[in-house]
Amino acid sequence: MPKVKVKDGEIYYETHGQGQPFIFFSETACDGEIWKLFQVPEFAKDHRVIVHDYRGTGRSSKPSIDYSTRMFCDDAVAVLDDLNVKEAIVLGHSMGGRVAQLLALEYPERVKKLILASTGAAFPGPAGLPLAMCKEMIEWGYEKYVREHTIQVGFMPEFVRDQPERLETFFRARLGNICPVEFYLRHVLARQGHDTSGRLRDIRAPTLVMVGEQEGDPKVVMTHRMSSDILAKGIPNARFVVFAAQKHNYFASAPDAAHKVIREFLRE
Amino acid sequence: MPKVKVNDVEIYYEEHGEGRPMVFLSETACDGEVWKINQVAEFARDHRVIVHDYRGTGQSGKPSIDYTTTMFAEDVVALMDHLGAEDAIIVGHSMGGRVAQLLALDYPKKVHKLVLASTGAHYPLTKGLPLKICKEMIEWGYEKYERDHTILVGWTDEYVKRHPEKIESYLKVRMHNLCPVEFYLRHLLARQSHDTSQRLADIQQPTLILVGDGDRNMTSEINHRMSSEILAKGIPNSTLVVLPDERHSYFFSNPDEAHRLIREFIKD
Repeated sequence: MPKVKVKDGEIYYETHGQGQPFIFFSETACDGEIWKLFQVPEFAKDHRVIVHDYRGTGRSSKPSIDYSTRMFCDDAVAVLDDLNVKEAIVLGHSMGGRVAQLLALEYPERVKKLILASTGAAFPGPAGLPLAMCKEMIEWGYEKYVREHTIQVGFMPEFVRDQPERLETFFRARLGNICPVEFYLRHVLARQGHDTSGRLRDIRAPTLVMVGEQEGDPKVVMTHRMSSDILAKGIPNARFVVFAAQKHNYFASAPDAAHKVIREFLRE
Repeated sequence: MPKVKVNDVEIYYEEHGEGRPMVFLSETACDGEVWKINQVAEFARDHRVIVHDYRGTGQSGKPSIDYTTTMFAEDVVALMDHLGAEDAIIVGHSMGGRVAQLLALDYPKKVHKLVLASTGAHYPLTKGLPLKICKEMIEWGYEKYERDHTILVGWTDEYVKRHPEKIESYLKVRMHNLCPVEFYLRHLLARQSHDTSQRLADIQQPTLILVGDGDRNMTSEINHRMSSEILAKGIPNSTLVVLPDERHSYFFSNPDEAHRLIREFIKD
């Protein structure tokens, strides 16, 4: 499968289907495999779906340097260039939504429509690695942390209880080729350093903001629920959809509902 | 054994001997017990030696709030007030040396002479938890990290090879009542955000700067060998002594030489 050379290495990507290009961006330190569970089969029916592995993840290069969301954005542009794609629908989940915002701001001509799923413009509070995350990773171990944390923020307790086999299918994709912990931390630092909060009104692409109704972890200063509200208010041409009884990973727990909302938005 | 409530937290301390007060301040997230291996016995012969457990360590209180070296210095000042101790010799090792600088700057009456052992004024680049430390703690586990890191930075390969039983006897003290990882991280954050680099010229007390010639491990962007040079250049009335064939923990591996240098320095 193809790789494109960038300044510090190579970025792995895949395309599926034909039609209007549609690029997907994963959450923090997550490679592109996750989209192949539900979104690639759905949208490759009538789109040219593009998924890729961020630097530091999957089959892409893993240089031991500081990462930034701007760097991830430029890597994705290299992928689009390599495919000769002038303009795409851009969907970003969580940290991927931060990269997607930068793509819309820095390369507006490349973004036909923008979908910002469970993301935000900035993290308030101190920069750097969050203490609570480091503490849990040290106490639980890395893989157990990613698993437990994903369950906690990603899925409703009823889903975890009633759909264990779907949860395991998800984790096979999520943890199957999990990046070395160094790069997870480098991704977290990139995410923490991201700030587009002063630039939202400059996003010109029609934008769909989505979030799970239950993404309101009281432990964190700024929940995805709150940060999505800020996006929906700050981006001029935005519509806002809240998924009832969902948390962070509705692309896996309620793909049909998510796909329906996206298809409606793309038809407009 | 005595505790005193200062600044809303109980601080555990011990006093040994009579004479001019001598306060020993430990390295990052390390309680006062390590001084009882060699230094208390030596200096309690003719000094009132005061050791204590920083907040977050040993038998002191462990509030889950942000810590700073200023806070550690205020705890020491409150303890000295409680004990009626003024005009003391302050010996600070590593992070303890950062606290000692603040005592000399902000509470000059408390400080007669200053010993800054294997320490520095600041980390100019890394605010927040250093990635390398977090990565190693996650990969190795907390206790193994602390053990392996202490050995690696503490002593030369030659010393480790020749004195395995001595290393074990030190680690027995160091690891005996290791603080919960949360407070190790809170101490790291306090250390990383410390900055007296612009204030060194204001340190008026006679100052002895000690560092091991081989104290060159990079946990952040500056090692102790480099930062000790910065201290020596910046503090007006200072003397730098480099201990050959030593790394970070010569108070344990070469106490006689360390004691001789300190005694020479404090003799009036």
